[in-house]
Amino acid sequence: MRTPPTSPELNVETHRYALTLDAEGNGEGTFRIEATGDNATPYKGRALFGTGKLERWAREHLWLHRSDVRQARFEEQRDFAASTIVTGDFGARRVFARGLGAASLIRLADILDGWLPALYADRTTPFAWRWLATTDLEFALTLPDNVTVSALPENVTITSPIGEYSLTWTRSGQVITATRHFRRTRRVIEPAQFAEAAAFREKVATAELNAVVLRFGGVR
Amino acid sequence: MKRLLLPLLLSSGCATTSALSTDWLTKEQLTWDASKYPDDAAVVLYRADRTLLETIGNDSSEVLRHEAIAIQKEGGFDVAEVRIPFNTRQQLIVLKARVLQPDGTVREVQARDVLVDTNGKGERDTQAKFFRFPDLRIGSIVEYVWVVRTPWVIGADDQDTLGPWPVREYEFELTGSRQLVFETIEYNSQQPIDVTTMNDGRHRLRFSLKDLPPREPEQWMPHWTFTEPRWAWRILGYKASSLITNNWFRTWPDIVESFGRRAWTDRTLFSGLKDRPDFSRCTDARCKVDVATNWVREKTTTVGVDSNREIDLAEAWKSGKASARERAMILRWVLAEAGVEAQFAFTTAGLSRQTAQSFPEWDQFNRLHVWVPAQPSIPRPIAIELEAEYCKAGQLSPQVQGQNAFVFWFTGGTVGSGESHGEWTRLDGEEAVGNVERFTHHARLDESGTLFDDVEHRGEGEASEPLQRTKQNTHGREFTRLFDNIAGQISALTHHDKERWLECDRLTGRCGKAWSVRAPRYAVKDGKSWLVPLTALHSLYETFDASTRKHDLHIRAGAGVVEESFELDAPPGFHVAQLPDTLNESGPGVSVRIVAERTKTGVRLSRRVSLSPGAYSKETYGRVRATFGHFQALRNTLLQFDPD
Repeated sequence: MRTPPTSPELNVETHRYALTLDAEGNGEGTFRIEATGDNATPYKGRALFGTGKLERWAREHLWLHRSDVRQARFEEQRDFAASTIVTGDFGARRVFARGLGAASLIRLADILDGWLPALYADRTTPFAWRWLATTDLEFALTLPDNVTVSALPENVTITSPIGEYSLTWTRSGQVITATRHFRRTRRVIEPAQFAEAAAFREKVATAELNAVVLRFGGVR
Repeated sequence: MKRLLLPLLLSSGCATTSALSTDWLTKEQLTWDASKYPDDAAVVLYRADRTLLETIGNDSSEVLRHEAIAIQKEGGFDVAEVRIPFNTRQQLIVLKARVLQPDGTVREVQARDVLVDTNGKGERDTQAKFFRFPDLRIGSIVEYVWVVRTPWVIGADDQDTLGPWPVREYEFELTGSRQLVFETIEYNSQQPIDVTTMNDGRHRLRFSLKDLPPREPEQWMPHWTFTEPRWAWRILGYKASSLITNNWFRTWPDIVESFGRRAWTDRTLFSGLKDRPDFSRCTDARCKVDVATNWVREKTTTVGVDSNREIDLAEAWKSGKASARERAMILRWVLAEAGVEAQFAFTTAGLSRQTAQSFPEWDQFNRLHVWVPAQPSIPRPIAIELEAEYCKAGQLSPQVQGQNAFVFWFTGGTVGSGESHGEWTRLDGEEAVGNVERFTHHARLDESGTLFDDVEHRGEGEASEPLQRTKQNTHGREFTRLFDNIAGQISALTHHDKERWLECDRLTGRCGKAWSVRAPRYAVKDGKSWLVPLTALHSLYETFDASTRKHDLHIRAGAGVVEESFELDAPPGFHVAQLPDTLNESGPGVSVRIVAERTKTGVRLSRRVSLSPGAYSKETYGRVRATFGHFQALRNTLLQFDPD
């Protein structure tokens, strides 16, 4: 008799960030984190544990670098609710690389935590995720009025036995939104599969290095 | 650490009663408004520290701790374990503990729940008993009272931290025989210490506080002694009659006398230490000072040893690891043996704790130096720092440079007699090698936008110490894995190789490592130009990232200089279109310099940030952060290479 394996659909962590940026690439906005199943465990734990430093704790859970949580709160949930939700306000610095001329650059690889482990050829032990899971990020950036945006990077979907990844870009007026999705489909990666995993990670990294070029009009 | 169950402790230990009140708190005292502490896992409802000093009949002291803590969330379960520190000559005479559950039930802790730690067995070793509250729940209140009796009169004490939780009520009380003359001091508080004379002539000092906020850690936050209201007391003297008062801890020499007497006269401390430095080539005192100092530095290391540890000196010597205090005791002894006049200088490392030179107190000191006064061949006194591995005789690290130090010596020479003497002076030594980190890049960009970068990272002074420790502790594949994070800060596509250590020497305070990276897709093609990020620069992640500040800034560890030079060759046929502006900016405690220049093949960028040790008010934080931000921002700047 074995405990049945869990599935990526039961352990889902979704982050939504909305930031309004200034001309220096600094921004203020809101975040919302919703987690279910095993992914909710650290959030539920913090809600029960309590240390009086909720903002600091929340900052460590955001996937965006150089962010500073101003305010965080748990949304009231009934006992044994399916999900745990944390919302709050935050700021972020240097979201885009600031050019000396008109052009600046946004690359997700420069500002977001990676989701995939680096597996090196000299490793001899299997890599094991603690559970199968799905992670989703919706990252909406409102750009200053005097900025025009180059063509957005192509949307990508990458599938492999290790997992499924997609990255899509959309634009509405001055708001560009990146939506990143990863579904772990294999919990244990054997050394024999490391080459396959490395190839998958490389494709994902390449997608996240695709840049959005911003052009500033007027005097900066 | 060995812990034994001590089932009879309560029955045997509590056979004696205390003259201090050990009554449980009332129901009203244990009621609290949880809505006042919405995000605190626990609240200290009440804490009392009481001391009773008795000189009538047998001399003795009793120290009481009484605490009641309400648990609001699971993080508060840490309060379940209570530690009672005392040494083998002291006796735990009262231990009462109970848990009040949210449903109103009350359970007293039984003797079987008491554990004892038998780690320390010496007279000066601190032993401790632990007990653990059972069955804690959200809403439980734990309450305990313990009293430790000491068979002598304690001469001085100061307040321990109240911990990280909010405190609703705190009381301190000191009661002493009328023969004792006290002096007290309070820090960080406007609440006066109330002094009364009781009917029997005893003196009582009281100090109470209400509604203290929780402590919230921040980067470079002041040591808790700078922020928490607290007290200290000491006995100045003992009135033998109405005319005669014997001094006790009246002056600074009184404070250090016990230590001085041991270090000067107790030969047993040094009897097992057979090694001696080779003075054969020395003809004067200066030579002996240098030889003996280098001998101690070469034969022992302070890495991983508490500065003020004091174990058997021969044992410490044999292990090759010695504390700064042990090193100082050994060094002074061998210098004195060799005919060099040598003394001690005690000081407090800069900003390591709040001090008051007007209030002589042993606990203020945390750094011991050997002090060599002027004498033939030594025209000016020499302070010898033994904490920092890289300080030669006469060199001082930034932590103690410029600090006030109490220089003292002992005269008399036999056990049980003699006298200590001393005076305050300022530690002004030769600057030790500074705390500097240097990153040097020689990089080039190829036609596909791939970056090739050869990097060296060197640390000097304090900055060399983490590198030395890493070198000592990581080998083979572990070493190459260290660079995964560095490469990962550029991109997940970045590879590293040629990892190697550069010269490392703990005695000169220098160490470095080098590596190479290859970062595909580093630059972005934009029409005919290349847009080139600078994410290959070192990332000082999380430094001054927080936008607001609750405490003053106390920059001590980590103060120093970071310098980085980045030489980047453009792809063949390209040149840099525009250079970043040169920048020189200073704010409180921080200065930044950025210089950019064209080279024949591309561009050279230099940036430097200097953090000066010191205390800076929280009101200046915005300026500090903004100034430091210029250094960080260069890493976020985008260069453009245009075709020639």
